[in-house]
Amino acid sequence: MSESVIRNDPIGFFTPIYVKVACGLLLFVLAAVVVGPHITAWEYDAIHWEAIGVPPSGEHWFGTDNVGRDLFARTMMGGRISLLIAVLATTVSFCIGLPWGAVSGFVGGTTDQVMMRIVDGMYAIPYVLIVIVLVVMLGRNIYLLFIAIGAVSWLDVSRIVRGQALVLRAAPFVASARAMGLPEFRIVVRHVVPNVLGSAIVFATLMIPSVIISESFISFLGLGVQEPMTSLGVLIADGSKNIYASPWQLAFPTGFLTVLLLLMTILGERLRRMVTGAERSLI
Amino acid sequence: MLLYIFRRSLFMLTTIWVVVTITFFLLRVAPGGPFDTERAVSPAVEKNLLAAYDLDDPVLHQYGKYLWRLVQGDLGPSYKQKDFSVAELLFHGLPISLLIGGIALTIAVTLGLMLGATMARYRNQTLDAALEGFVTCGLALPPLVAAPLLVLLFSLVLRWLPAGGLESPLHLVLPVISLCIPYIAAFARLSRSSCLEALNQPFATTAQAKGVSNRRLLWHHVLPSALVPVLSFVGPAAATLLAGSMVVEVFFSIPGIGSYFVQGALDRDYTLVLGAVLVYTTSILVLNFLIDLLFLRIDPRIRLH
Repeated sequence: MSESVIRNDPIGFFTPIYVKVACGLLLFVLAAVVVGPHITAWEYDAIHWEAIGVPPSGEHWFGTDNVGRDLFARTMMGGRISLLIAVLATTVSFCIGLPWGAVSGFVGGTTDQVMMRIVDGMYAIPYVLIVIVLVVMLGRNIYLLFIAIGAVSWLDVSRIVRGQALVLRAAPFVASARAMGLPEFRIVVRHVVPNVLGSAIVFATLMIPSVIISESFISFLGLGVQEPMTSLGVLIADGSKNIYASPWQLAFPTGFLTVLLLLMTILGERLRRMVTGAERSLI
Repeated sequence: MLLYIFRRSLFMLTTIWVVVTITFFLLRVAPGGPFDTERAVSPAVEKNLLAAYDLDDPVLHQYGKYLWRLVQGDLGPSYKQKDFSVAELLFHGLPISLLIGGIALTIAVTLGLMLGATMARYRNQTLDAALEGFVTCGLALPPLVAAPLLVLLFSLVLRWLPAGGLESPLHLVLPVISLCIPYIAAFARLSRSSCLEALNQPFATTAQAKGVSNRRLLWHHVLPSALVPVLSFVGPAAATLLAGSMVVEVFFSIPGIGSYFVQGALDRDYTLVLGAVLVYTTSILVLNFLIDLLFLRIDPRIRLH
């Protein structure tokens, strides 16, 4: 499938060699996360008292942790959980930001003013504080984690969508829909939303690395994913406890997260540049 | 001017009050409390505990009491760190966190500006593209990733720098570097685009027409004008820097506010969490206020009204 995408690549996304390499590597990492836990003989949560803190070897590729769990299986599982939460959290933020921005931009006037002031106000509050207070309030639960992250990261999506909806408001097809007597709600759902969907999805994709960072951050602090389930943040926190005795416990999860973030950021930057034009991309 | 400062201060106090109120009630709505343990505590002990910390009053009553004490500078006792009041803990942690965050932010702005200006000067040339590559990589290295990588390299392999603690200025090097990497990148990119924008302004063309050298044009004409958008990103950057500072403080075992906040969140130590939120919000608001005052000085085009 990727072959045909590359061949029919009309905007030249895949033209530079580094984009091809990064894409290939990212696919490899994603595949490793999906099949990784199944190709080792070890379970990610199986405790082996006879193999505590074993350095990397042919048997345990990434070594083992302090209760003898295989680190390769754990890192792959952690990567899987981190990615899963990132995708779900992005979906949550998408589901809040899209309707919010579409309504705000399309309706305009006082409604727009009020809705955007709320967004501005939320920007002013450091989001980590909200997430951590939400996590303390709702308990440490993997399902609430991505809802909490999604609930604070929809602001950017809503801004992008609003900008698009503002433009669409004046479009001829909206005028004709109105002339045909369609109710406002229906115009938003059937005419505005489908048109902003494309850019909103592109933007949501760009958000995934920062959402991975948020998840790892909260799990690193011990407020996110709980044992025996694991995530990259949990693994980094565990590994950082005894770096001199067993550096591999920190090195492998960190290395994995670094590679994942670098690849996604490089591809995301490429996508952003193609969509917005190089000079206009600020942060 | 005085009126402006007064109005802003009033606004800040209102914001702080709103944040404290929301946080207070969010924390109290949650089921469970700081004294929930695995072991069942006898009802009498539990009753006494709750009474000692005023947790048996109605919530509104507790809220009123908290606000009244807050006005007097009392943030209440810590529920878990016995013998310490929240104010003591935070007062101890604040200078450390401010120092690390302040140094990191200063380095990020300065280095970012210089990198961005250089990129703008050599725009669309090899140097620009190479630096852009570094910037992209920098954006992908949050403190959570940078801190372990730096420790593995400089503490474990090279053994140059300590991996944790806070005994000497040398202990600050790795925390500060791991904190500021993504911000250097972000500021560099922002500076590049705002320098390019300033280069297209009439005053830049005038300066060029008068034969000002490229170097002088960049540093004396373009950069001061490009400063405003860059500085206005300092506030938002500081807000996100909080997350990084928590990671860095926990990772390097530094007893700053971030460490206490995280510990408080893990222990459901309401007063400690609330106190840390209060201090964080206040710092961000004050920083934004100072930046706005700075704007008045550096850019004569900005007027109060």
